[in-house]
Amino acid sequence: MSMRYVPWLAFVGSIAVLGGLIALWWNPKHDGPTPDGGVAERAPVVVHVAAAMRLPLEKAAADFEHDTGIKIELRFGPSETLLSNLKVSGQGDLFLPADESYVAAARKAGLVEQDYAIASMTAVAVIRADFPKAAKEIGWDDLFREGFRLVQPNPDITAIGKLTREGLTASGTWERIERAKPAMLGSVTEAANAVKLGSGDGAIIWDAVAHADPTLKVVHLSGLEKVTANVSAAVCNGAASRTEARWFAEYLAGESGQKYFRDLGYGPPREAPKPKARGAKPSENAELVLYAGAMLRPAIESTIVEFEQREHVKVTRVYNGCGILVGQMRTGREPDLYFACDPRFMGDVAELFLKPEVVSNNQLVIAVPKGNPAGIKELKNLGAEGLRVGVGHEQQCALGAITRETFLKAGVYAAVRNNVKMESPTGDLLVNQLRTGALDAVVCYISNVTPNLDKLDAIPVTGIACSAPEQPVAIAKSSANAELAAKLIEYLRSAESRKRFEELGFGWGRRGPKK
Amino acid sequence: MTAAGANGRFYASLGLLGGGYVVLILAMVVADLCYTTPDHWWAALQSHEIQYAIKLTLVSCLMTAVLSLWVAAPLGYLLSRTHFWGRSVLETILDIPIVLPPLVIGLSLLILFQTLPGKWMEETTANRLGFLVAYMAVPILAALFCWPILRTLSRGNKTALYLPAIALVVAVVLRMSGVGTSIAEVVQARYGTRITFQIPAVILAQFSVSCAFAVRTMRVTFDQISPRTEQVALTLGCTRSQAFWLIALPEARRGLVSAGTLAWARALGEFGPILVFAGATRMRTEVLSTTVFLELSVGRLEAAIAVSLLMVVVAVGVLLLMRTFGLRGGIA
Repeated sequence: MSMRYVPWLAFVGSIAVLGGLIALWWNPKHDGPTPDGGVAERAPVVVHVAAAMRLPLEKAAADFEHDTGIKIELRFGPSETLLSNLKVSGQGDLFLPADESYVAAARKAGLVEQDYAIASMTAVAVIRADFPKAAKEIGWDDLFREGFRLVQPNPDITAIGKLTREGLTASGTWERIERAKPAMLGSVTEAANAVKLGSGDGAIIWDAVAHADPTLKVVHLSGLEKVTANVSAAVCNGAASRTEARWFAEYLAGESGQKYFRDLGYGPPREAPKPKARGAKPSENAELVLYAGAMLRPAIESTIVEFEQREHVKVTRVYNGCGILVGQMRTGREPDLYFACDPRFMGDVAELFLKPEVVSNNQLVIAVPKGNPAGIKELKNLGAEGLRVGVGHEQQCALGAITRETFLKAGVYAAVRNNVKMESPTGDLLVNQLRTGALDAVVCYISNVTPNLDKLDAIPVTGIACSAPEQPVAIAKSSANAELAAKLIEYLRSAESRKRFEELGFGWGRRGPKK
Repeated sequence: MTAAGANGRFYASLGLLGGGYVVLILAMVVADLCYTTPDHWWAALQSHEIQYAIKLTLVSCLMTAVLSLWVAAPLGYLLSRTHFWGRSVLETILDIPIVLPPLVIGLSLLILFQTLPGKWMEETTANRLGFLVAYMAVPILAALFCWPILRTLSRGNKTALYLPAIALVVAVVLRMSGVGTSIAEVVQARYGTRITFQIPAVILAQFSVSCAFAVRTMRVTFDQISPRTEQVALTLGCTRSQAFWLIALPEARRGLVSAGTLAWARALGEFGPILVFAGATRMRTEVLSTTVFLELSVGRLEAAIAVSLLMVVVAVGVLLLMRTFGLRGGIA
């Protein structure tokens, strides 16, 4: 071939090389947005994990996938980088940094909702393996001795550094550390690695990090036992697989996940404060303010009346769409107790409440007139031409938010939206409209339909995790009547209460994943 | 003092200064070798995640090198042979990826893909990639492949004018026959993907940095090639395009290999932009530099060093191959 074709050959050859590389080897799994029209394949739960947490997370994620069939995609990085990525991209379902300070920062930036305590860590000193003293003989004085090369995670950018400074300042030990002019490093792992390599003689790091290298001498110095931190996982506000993310966080916090953290030297999560339950004396004139999602009213009203009579506490109930309740709490109105229709609406105000407890769960259904005249069998039938559909309001209530998420996951959002004739802040209003004949079908909870089963049929929405929300209840941190509120929670979780919930079609407790 | 003795001392002092650096590099490698054991190497090679990282590293670096050459050769030629208003500004812009901290490049890419054009691009690659490949890439490639035949048939007259016509005809044929739809569906199902935190992000992050080095190399290469041969070709009736393709580019062969090698090597060592823009997801966006970071993060120094040495072996092997075969019989 003539020389003149050599550049052409090189150019076309390079295209062929690129094409060949892509075609033969690169096969990215499709996980982009699913076009409308069919049920989407279950998307993985995207977890932003601190690289230091890789080992327990990889094992727990593999087990969770095996047990539930839900795929977990772990994206590793330094906690600060993960936080920045979350801020910029908004992608991700769960945020699991190296310590809870990053969760607090993410919450401040409005990036996360409910968080789950996964494990705890305590500060220890690690000393190089060939240090001429046994671990139990080493004290603070050894660290400050002339010639001892102390390395320290930087207190301005690392949680261990910051918490060590806070914990040791009162005793004057931090001042001694500063006088020793330690080399300040960018992360706790860098400090551990420096001691391991011998470029430092000792460092103050987390016990879980020290556990990774058994050759280091681990010393429990006085004062460090108070320097502790929780490792928390927080559900991201923009989560695409919110329910699955919660399940995974609960799995990590439960015994199934805990064993991996324990094996790697992490402590159990610190117990969340829980007020001791008590009733009031008749003379106390005690009063509680309860905010509750509208759908819960039929299930809890009788229980609250019983509570008022037996415990001498007046309960002021505010029932409304959870989005509206959250808005009220954001403007400064704080109840003693908040019973949400979905954990997302609890997570939105998580900083105001103690650890929530899940009481019940509910199921999304398509409610139709008795006999199902429109022949609706599944969600995609709601997009049929001319059908009049009612749904919950997307911003004002959990029902609307969950319905939207379910439609998106089922790939029918655009089609059904064309038929939506009514959006309501409560499911009961939708059911009333359906009964009057103003609508052909509504998407609501089974608990909205159960009292009307003589006039309506309910078609369950199955196979989509977010279509079965859980209802958590929590006591406000600022409540002056926390013990009375705790007593009311006992009533709400009692056997009688359970019966009332179940009669209305609710499930009891957590629902959890199914394979 | 004899001239031979003076020369000897001169070379000895040069060797001493340069040798110090060579010794430093070798000492680092030897230190790494002493810190790890064959068991760590073996364990690293056995790991599925690391096997995947090796494959992705090799593929992404090769793609980055090829893409960099596509951009660097024309840009280097343009900067070397032409004088236009704003050239110095353009050169400064091209140096930005070299001077910026790598993490900032990654962050900038991430931010870029949150803007409207970035989101549109992600949307396109996720949902309409099959369509673009079937009705744009395939017709253009078909036209390019036909170019030598066309040139022969038309005896070199206005060949370039036929290219768009062939592409259009191919696109219409694909559409009418239904083959285009099949190609679009297969490509979409198999390769349709978003960019951020996916494999394309790895390549884009590597490319953003590596290409700047390749452009600089190509610019210097063309500067060093005398334009006289091209000028002679122009006086004999060649067009500027023919002078570029048939004279300048073949003469710059060694420079192309150097630029490609440099881009490849730079891509291999890239870490910051990949971490920020592509994430560090195992069995997806994990390249060898990411593996080193992941192992270091959990205090597994031995594994991190084993992987680092693996990178050294891979890099040395590939660079030797490129230098041995790529530069054989070179001109420039």
